[in-house]
Amino acid sequence: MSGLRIAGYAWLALVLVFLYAPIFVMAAMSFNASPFYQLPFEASFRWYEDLAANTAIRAAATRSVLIALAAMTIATVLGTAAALALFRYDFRGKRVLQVLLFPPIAIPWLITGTAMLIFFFAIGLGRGTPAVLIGHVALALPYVIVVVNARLASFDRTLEEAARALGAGPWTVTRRVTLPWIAPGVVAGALFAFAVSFDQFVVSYFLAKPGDATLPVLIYTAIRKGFTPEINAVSTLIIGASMALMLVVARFFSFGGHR
Amino acid sequence: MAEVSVRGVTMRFGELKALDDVTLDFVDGGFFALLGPSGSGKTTLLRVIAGFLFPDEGEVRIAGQPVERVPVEKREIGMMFQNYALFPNLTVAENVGFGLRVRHVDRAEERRRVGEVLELVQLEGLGRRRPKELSGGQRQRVALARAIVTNPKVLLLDEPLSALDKALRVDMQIELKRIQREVGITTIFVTHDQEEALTLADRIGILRDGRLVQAGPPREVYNAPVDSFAARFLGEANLLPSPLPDTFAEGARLALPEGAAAYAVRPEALTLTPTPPEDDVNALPGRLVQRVFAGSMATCVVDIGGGGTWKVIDRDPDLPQLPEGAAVWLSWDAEDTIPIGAA
Repeated sequence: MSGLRIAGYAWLALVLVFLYAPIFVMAAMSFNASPFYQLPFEASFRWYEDLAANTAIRAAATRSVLIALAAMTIATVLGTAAALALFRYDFRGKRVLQVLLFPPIAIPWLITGTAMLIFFFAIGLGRGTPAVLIGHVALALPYVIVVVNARLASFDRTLEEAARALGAGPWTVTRRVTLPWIAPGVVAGALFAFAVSFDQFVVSYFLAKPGDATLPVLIYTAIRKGFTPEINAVSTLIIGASMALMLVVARFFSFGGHR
Repeated sequence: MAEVSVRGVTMRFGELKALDDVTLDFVDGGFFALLGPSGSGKTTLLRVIAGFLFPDEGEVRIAGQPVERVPVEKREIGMMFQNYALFPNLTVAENVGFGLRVRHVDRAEERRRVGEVLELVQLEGLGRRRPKELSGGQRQRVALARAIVTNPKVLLLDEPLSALDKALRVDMQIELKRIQREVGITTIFVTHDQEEALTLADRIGILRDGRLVQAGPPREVYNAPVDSFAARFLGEANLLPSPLPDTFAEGARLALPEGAAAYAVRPEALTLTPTPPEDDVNALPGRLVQRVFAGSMATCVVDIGGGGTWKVIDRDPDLPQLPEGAAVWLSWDAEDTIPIGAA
């Protein structure tokens, strides 16, 4: 092996360590009996048992998952429809709309959260789960549109024309021809939407009612009060679940090129 | 199967008139070629007939029914696209059966008709393949099968053979003609290839800048072009202006009919000789510029002083080998002079 090759592998290893070391340490500690990260390592499921008994965390986790599923569904349907409309139709103000869709991605969540809080109080909705859900949908929507749009860019429009010539109305064309083509984009967009909602701390923190915290908000408050390794346990579970999901999806929809 | 009629159709794209008052009839069961250079409006006309575009003015009828405001999916047409537009996620059989599925034809009937039409295009046994596993010619057949399986009233083809290489294209022309005869469907196809139009069509329409220049059986258009554009677009033509300029080919012996705007002479009507012809024919002196053999005939380019260059197709194998630059005479019978337009 040449020196350059070795250096290359070393660099790759470094990147992986940088990405995964903190996660690995946390996961390991969630199985350590000591609450103060003391070594030697003593294997234990103690924190997972505590977690199972902790109704506050379970309630927050359930709420987070439900909100994320709802936000994902709404944002995916609206975002896919919007991407299709932008792709198919020319209308007045289309360019303006396309340009305006993207800044929300770049605006810091702190600012968006503040603005939403002020807005929801102004219209009388106030804080609470509906506000959180609306906020999450608004945050996730641009991601879905961008991802579906990217997939549509490679779509051959004459396929839709061929389907219409064969007697398919607009809805059948969408369902039988367009959606199968953009499905990988829609799934990717949905995953983004789920992740944006499930990971969301800032906006949730601003918009959630004190009793109705989502999991990230609860974790934050728990750490502020005094750290417990239960948080390691719940985080490890989340990481395991999301990695498994990503692997499954990557298998079905070869992201990042064709196999 | 039905006749199609287009009356006074005008189609504007902003300032541009893509179609300008086009009137044209397509007879029942006929094979009609729309011919023209790019930008002539031939594809626009096809899309107006298909229903992808609604004309700004005029009327489109299919089987006597006015359809100019009926969307594509309700027109009962079959269409084949230049890139075939096969659905990549469906198999060959699913592609072909798409139109039947949309019409809620029951599955057994669908299988039977898909099988029948695949046999017609000689693709039996390939129903389970995906489009990407087929050759260009096979894809073309699938696209054709898909377009005719629903028994449409009219079959529309948009440059159907342009994506194939030359040899395959000729095979497919013969094949397309056979299938069209067998099914007996009114067919309209767009092409910029005059040879293809002559091979396939029993009627042709020549378009230029959104206007219909001429329509009729190929022979008729070939023998009696209405203007120099039609004369040159369908086949090749040597043109004589009218009246002839004073500088034109000194020594020419011409007896031209009165009252035409111009005259055309087809390259194959000309005879090339080294000496002035003795019979009572039209004759032009010139200078041989180039002579290219192509099997049984030679294509010669002759410089006519003041009249540009003429093309001659010479089928006389016994003709002595004339060197390039030699003085030659071109002659033709009076009846081979094609008068174009009225002066």
